[in-house]
Amino acid sequence: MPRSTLRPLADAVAEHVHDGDIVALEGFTHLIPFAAGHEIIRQGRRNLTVVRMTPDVIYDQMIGMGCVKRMIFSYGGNPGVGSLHRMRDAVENGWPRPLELVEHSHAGLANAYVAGASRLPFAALRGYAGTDLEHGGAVAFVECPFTGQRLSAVRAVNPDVAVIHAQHADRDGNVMLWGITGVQKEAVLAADRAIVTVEEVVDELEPRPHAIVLPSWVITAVCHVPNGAWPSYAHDYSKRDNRFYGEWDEIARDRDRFRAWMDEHVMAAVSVGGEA
Amino acid sequence: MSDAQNGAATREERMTVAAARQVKDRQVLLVGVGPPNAAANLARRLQAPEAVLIYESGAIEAKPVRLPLSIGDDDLAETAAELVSVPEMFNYWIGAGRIDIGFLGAAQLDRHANINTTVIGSCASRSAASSRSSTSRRRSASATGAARASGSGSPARGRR
Repeated sequence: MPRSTLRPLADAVAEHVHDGDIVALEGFTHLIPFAAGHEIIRQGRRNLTVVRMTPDVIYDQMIGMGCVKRMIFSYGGNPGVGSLHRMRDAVENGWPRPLELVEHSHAGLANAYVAGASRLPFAALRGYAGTDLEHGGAVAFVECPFTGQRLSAVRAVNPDVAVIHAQHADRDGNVMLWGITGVQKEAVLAADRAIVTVEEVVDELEPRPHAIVLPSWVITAVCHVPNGAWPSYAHDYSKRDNRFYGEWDEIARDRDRFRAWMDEHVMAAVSVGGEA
Repeated sequence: MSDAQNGAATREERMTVAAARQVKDRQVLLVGVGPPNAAANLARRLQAPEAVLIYESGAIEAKPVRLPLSIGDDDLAETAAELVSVPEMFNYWIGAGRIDIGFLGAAQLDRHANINTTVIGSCASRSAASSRSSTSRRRSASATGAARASGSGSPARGRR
């Protein structure tokens, strides 16, 4: 199997994230790959289908900058703060372009990733009963062949590329993450390609409680991007910047203020992770 | 959070206290973001000090020292007895029915306890989503509204 290579983030995005791709930036509150999302924005990707459990500020930014055509998601919001105003503007007013939505429950999308990682066509679960969520044909009901129970079936998600942030990689490109590890293992294993940004490149990965190790041969590119999860956080490296999540509510309400913030903090910024 | 003018409790605060009072000690709670999070932690500081708090991010038996803003704050990960992946959380712990009370923040409830987590108003007729989850009358569901997040005809904050 091909092993991952240590790459500058700009090069990894240029090589592995294409217009029209299905892209999953995952990280459940913790370890959200903001720096990689910003690089995708800077490189002007268009017509992406983005997948994410809790499309919070990072997808609000990508949607507001016109990168996204379609979003497959569960729970759209700025957790504990309120609505995502750029997402709302796209849905309600088509600004800067219309946004198609495929909405799941968290349990449904988590299982869609599990099916994708397992290379199965669907997963079965209890859920979606009595809901009229518009899930774009991704949910059906099946009868259990053993018990006759009526269960929901959710179509597998297999992104073209998964993007995650982790604490450590070693020099061979093996990756370790710990703390709240969310659905990142499933997203990486469900995807054709995987880009991982890391806080630190270490000589050797040390065993830790609750850690996940993703071997080099399931990852396409590793990029050294310290603080690449801000305003999310990296357990043992940083704290969640809850103040910024609150400030985002005001920044994102207004189109001009949003564009000014993005121009200053994202578009004008130098691509990080330059060292390989 | 208190009304600055007269010191009276806000509607959200009253709702939060009412929800907290539903909790019995040692019950297992699935804690949602927003007012449910405040309610569960209030219950733990009052009549239910041994209530078990589970957050969908993977934190089992979390004992946050300060009130977390999100369901995945670092304080939850650091104080949890166990951390599991999100698929494990939804399949082995929530889906398997190991919780006594699910605390949901909803945009709207009706008199039958149907829950709307997604859309209020005319957006329901467009191609995007409207969710009216009929988990009504299930004794395990306790919902608190999140009216401040919802505008007319707009996708609202919600959690499912």
